[in-house]
Amino acid sequence: MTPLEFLKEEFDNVRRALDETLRHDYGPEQSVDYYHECEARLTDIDAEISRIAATDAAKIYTYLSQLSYVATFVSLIERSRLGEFSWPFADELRRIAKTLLAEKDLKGDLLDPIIHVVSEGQGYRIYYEAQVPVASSRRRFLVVAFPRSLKHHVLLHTLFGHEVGHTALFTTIAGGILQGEVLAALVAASPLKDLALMNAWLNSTAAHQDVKNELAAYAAQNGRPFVFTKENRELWLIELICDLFGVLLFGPAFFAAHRAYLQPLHPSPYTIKTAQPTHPPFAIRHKMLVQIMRVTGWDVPITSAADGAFHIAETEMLRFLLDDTYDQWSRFFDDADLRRAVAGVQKIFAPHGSLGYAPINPAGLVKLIERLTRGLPPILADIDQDGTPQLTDVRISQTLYAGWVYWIGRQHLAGAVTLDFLTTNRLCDHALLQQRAINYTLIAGVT
Amino acid sequence: MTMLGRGELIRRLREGNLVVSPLLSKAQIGSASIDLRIGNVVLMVRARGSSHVDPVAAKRSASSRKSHEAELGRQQKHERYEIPFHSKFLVHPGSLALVPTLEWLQLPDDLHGSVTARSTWAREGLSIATATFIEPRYQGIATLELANMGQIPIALYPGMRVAQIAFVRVEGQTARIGGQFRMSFEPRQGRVADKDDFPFIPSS
Repeated sequence: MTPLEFLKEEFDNVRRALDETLRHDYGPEQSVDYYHECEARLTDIDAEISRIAATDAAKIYTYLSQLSYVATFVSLIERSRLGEFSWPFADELRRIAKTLLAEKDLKGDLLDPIIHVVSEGQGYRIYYEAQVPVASSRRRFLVVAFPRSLKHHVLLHTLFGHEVGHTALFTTIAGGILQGEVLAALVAASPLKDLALMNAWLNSTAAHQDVKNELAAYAAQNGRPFVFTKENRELWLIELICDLFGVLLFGPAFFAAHRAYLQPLHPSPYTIKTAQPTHPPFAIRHKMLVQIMRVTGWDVPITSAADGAFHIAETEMLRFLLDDTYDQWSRFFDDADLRRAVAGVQKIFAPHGSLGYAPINPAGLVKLIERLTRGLPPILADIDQDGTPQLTDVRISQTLYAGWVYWIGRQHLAGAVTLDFLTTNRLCDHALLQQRAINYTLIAGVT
Repeated sequence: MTMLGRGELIRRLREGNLVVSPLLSKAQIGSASIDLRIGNVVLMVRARGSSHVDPVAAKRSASSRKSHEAELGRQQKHERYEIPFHSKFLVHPGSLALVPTLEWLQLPDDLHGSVTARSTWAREGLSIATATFIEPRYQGIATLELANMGQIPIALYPGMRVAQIAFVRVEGQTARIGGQFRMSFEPRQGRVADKDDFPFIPSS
């Protein structure tokens, strides 16, 4: 078999694999687009292959690589099972991604990405095609990967806000703002302003002892001191921008998930992990989120003292979020700069109405929490005296805020049932599903 | 036996004593019943999953420690589909589909629920054949056992009203320890035989 014959054989294999994916049952949305996009890319590759000379080893290699790239996406089709993740939440991510990540093509038409959802053994991830291969169709793939073990844990799924931030950075409109005014605000007066300041911050006497030990160990092992690189600085900035993006997208529910999920992964909140310093220490990220809560006014309870136990529970939840005993050394930003950064991100959400977190009204929040205390999915769906439904569109970020208030403040809430974390999540997940039905009804106006 | 009429249903729903939620249209509350909508999960018996239903297997599974075989039997019996809104699923003649209601139910001590098909769908051959009673204090979705008794397949969409539940008042104390399906989020395979049945079931 010659290299060219192998290339053609492999092409047939990938096309066959694509067709075989249709044996399985997938979600109704996107699978058609996804299939067609893969097919279009294969057609482009097929046209190129037909022109390759049998002796052109470089081109044979190029198109084998492109086939392998398409094959990766083909295999992901079979990795998607609706039963393995929360599709109401996945649908919300689709809505967010379509709204925020649409890009203009050369004709000026808006092209949204093809969003594909899978579940994996690892953490929350979004894979985004920053560059579409040359010989291909125009739409980008965006693969959302839920952690398989956390199928129902919608309270933690808000962490996707951070991942959406990563993808938004690649887009023209949102990415332009994030890399422009948001970035400028974050570097204005922080140690991230330049590498010299960053290294000075790392080596300052105020640094936490864990970091001093870490740097000493690095120097002993490598025979030279650790210094940040330009790439390290950029990666830290990206991570901080994405945290900012996540908290403004999903509100305090993002922050709660951030703390609950990430804190256990950082035995020392200060260390920079010299082997791979891709993320800022947890303490810096936490401190920034605390500051954002304050500059947005979300540190103030929505409920009032008159709401009794619900207010106490909400206060407890906010205390959990705002608890910040970390060294001042890990405070990077001035409030004024963070305000400018927040305003920048909110500018991205503003044209899209219901995107971005906005606090629910006090009565609504009390009602949502009260339903959880009774073991009911937190939705706002009452009936009046003649049986006419009184339905309310509650945003996902508001439902999940109520879920976190219940979970953190549950010891203050007298209720018919005491829920464990999984059941709290499942009720919230069920609420998201019921909310979809409510919203269809509201849009149709058929109550 | 007193069946609750529309006025009493509304009163109890508003007080929170009875929960059937969400109700999406005024017409969902009838003169003495409440319509129920299809939820988003369908369980259908997997043709290759098991040869027949046999209480002996249930007894063996209950008396042994968690084993691969027992878990395999439980997990493989049904094909489970999640059906988002605006997607259809077909119930073919002679087949049985277990479907949750969209509504979350919570019954007080003194009410008993009885689920039947809406007459419109019954006339098309759609039957809600089994386990129509919902006990006092139950909370969770109700499982609809949909069977197509007609000659042609029936397409159904999540959110459609296919069933109805009527409530009757129960007298006397109703507390019972540990029903099978408390706080149920979706249909599950039931236990066809329990401790009380075991004396009547051979061991193998």
